[in-house]
Amino acid sequence: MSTPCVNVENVFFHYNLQKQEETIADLSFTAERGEWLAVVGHNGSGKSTLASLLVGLRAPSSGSIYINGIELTEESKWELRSHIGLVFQNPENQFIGTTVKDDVAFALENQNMPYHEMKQRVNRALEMVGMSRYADHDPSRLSGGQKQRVAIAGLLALQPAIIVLDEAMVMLDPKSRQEFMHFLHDLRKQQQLTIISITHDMNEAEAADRMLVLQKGSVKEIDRPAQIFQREDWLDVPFIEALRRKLKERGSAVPDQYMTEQEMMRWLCR
Amino acid sequence: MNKLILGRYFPGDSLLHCIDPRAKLIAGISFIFILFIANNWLTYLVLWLFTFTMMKISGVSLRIYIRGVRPLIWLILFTVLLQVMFTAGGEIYIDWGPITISSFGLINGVYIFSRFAMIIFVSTVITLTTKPIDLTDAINYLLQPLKRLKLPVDEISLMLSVALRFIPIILDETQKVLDAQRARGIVFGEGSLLQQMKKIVPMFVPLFVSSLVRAEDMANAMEVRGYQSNQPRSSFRRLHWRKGDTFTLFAMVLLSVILIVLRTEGHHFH
Repeated sequence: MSTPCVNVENVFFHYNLQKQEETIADLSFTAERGEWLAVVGHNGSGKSTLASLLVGLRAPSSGSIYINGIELTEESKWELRSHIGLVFQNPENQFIGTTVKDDVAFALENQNMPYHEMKQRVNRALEMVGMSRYADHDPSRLSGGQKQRVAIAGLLALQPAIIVLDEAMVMLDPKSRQEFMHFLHDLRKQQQLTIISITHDMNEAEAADRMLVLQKGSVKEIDRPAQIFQREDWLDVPFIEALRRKLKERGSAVPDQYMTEQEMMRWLCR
Repeated sequence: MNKLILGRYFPGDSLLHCIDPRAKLIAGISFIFILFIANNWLTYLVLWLFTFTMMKISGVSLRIYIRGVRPLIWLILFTVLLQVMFTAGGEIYIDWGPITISSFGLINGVYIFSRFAMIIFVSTVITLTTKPIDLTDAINYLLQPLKRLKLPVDEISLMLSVALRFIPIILDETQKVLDAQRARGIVFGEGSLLQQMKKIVPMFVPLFVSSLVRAEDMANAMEVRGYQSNQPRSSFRRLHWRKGDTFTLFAMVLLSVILIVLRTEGHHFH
């Protein structure tokens, strides 16, 4: 197999140097090129810390992270930043530009990109997220969902190979979240994009190729979502799985394994 | 907060709004120097005419300009009073030892007052008709030569623009904290001065904390998006110098020529 796009090897990290408590403890996983990996876990399981480690905002206390085969270090992180992008949880504080389009262009300016290319990319990115109408607005005056769209546009304009979404869609309404998911799935197919999405939304996690369950900073499980939802009953399961369990409780003869929406529909309409 | 007029932008499409911010900035600064050419009634009349024409063209109502002068009125009056009392010469009306009120003193007072008022009016014209971010760009452009002296010009202008972006956010935040305190039963604007001051203190702590959090979040966002100081950056915002902008500067030259012609040689009062 070729080198994985993201390779995390035995990473340890702790915030408080005095305490021995590890936020990330012996974490190892890989993500292949073009894969959608969902990261789930309880509050405080180290999800956001993982995000900041992946983009080099924090350095692991031991272990290493490889992006496209290159080790993430103080020296290489600047170069790797054009390959990997992160959308933060809170869109409020990540705007630098005074207008939406200025902000989307910020990362491109940092790449010292010529004006015409920037203009094209900014327009295209804003179109992708449906925010072209707001190009000249002040980002801080937008609604939460619109802010997240702009933040995602800023990332898309950079055209990175890997996208890390740290609960980047929580403020979107269900319909636009659905649209976004489809859109990202398409984009991923087109451009072989690797997506690591940190989420609490199990419906979002279900659409991923693989799911990583993080517990106390290490991998509890990493597998196909269907497998995990079947095994882990503590997880807040997606609607269809919840329905299946309810039906089973009531004594229906539903199949024992996890079902997709289509399968469930077919089963119900038999 | 709404009283502060200096430094606020009034959107519009007047002739002055369309002038390049660099031209406006140069014109504004040169106006301050041009003021010192004037030394008789006629020259001050010309300057007042110029100032009022600019205010008229800006399309902003006179009331707003007057509000802009108001916070500084005591400082101006104090300076004028000193001039009036301590300038001797001409016909003396009142003579109290070192304090004299003379015709020269009165005339000088009017001149000084005119100078102050015109400087404020003209700079208000500029800030009212120019977006703060455009002014920052203009400052950045005009400071470029200082790069040779190893002055971090680009960093300074980025700092300025980030600061500008944060002003409305911090104001909103203040309002939120105020509301939160009100919800807990604090009544603002009541009690003795000391009591009122005490009530303000608990506002500052959350404001400081949230500003620091914001600053860190923003620094992280900038880093993730590849910002490095001392690295060449391209610029997405562009300034376009047009013919009209050259005319603006030419108008300032014309104004100073007119004043030099009308000015009295030596130091006479008429």
